[in-house]
Amino acid sequence: MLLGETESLCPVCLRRVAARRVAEDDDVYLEKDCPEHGPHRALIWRGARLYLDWARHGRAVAATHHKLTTSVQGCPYDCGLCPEHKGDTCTAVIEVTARCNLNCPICFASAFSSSPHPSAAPAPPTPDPSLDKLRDMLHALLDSSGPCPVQLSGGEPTLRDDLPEVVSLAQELGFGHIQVNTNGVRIAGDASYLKRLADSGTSVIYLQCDGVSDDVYRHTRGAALAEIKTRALANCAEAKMGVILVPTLVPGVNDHQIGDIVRLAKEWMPTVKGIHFQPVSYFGRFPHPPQDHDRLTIPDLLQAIELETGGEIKRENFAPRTRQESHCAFAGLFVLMEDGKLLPITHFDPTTPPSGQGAKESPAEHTRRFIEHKWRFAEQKGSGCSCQPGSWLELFDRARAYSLSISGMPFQDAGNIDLERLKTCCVHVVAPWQRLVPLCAYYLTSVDGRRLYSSELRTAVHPG
Amino acid sequence: MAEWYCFKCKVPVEERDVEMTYLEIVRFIAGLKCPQCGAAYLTEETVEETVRPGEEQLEEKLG
Repeated sequence: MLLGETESLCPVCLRRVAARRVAEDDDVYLEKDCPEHGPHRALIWRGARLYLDWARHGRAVAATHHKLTTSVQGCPYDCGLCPEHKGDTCTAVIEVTARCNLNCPICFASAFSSSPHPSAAPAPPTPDPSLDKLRDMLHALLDSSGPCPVQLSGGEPTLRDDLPEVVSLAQELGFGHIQVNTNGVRIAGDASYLKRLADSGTSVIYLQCDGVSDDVYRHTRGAALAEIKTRALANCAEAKMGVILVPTLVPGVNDHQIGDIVRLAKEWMPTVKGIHFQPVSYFGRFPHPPQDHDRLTIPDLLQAIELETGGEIKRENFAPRTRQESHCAFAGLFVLMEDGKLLPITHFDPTTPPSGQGAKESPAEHTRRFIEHKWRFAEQKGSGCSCQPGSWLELFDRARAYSLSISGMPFQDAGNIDLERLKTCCVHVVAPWQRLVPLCAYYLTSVDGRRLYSSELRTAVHPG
Repeated sequence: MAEWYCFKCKVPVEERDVEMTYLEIVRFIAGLKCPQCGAAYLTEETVEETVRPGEEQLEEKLG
């Protein structure tokens, strides 16, 4: 059954091709044909009814960001953002280094190790952008999107000794929420560096956290890192630095540890403020071309969360994140009560028509507020509340510090990219050539590993 | 505290915990209840000092 028509890319040559969203045996696929490389199809959702119900919760609004490029070759070759783009920036990602201290089998940033490794790519790392260069990139972001939340990424950003200065620079330019996306290796062993990051105004550590055991980390990161994650969390607790745990989920590798990750988050609250699940997407380095069973769609993930937490968290405790394209992400809010159980605050019935609540804000404004207010450390007020169990006073008091957001966002790759969805994307990478590129387009590669966006050419590689 | 009367029954209400449902969650809060019809009331003080800040906090976090 045809659910809708859109455009996509040929995963081999990256040319733009017509595509169809098709329901078959209750799964939803993206089907497309390349005149040169033939048909391709990828699983995008499980549950056609749910797909259609979630579709009703998207919210179209006019974009307010300033366009930095013009439309010449069409989406996704003109990113800047171009006039075709509908989604304002909710988070901007800036790569502050291409160096890394790990050599992960799974890495969409495709950074090179700073230390020799037998399987590392032979090319040397590109030099880190200077503070002046980063200032120019932040100015481009301000020109386009204003002072949105910024995520400093890499490579591994903590390899820069001057990262606290980068945070200060962003603060001086008016950016109020600054995340550091890290594997945790440096902050686990260097508490004074973490303190400098905290003192400079870092809002939250966005900590890669794929599981709780070394066998998982050996598979996803090529190293035993479980103890390192624990030490990073302990140092963040000491520094009163909020943490978002960010698991990259690979079916059959660590989806069985979803419940353990939730328990880890509970154990480290109020330091841990949220979990942001990222089902694996296939760009950058990955071991083999993805099959349907290699994909974890949003309904798969919601079901797994319910199962792996023994029903403490249920599917209906998650709602589509406020987006123009509601299939992009989900979120739920929970409060950890004194009995050790998570009390769900979010309740969502996908069959209920959208209420229109919150329509005074654009989806990007909505998400910015969500990130800025919730993804930072907060201590319990210390009111000494002798609130009775079961009372609203007890819940309000706990929610000050013991609230946990659980969210997820599967990125799109060359197999499943839907250009209509891409045009509404609100997570944008600030490219070194001072243009904004939706994250999925920026890191997208063909099946042979060729990037759609080339740093050398400072533009998209158009197959035509 | 001044004595309060039920708007409907015109009888004095009693100070006691009442159930309040919000975001599909049912919990109790200190309130006033009519012994005759069961209608529940919250004082302005409770609404302004407890309920409104609590709501704002949760809804802000809900994003």
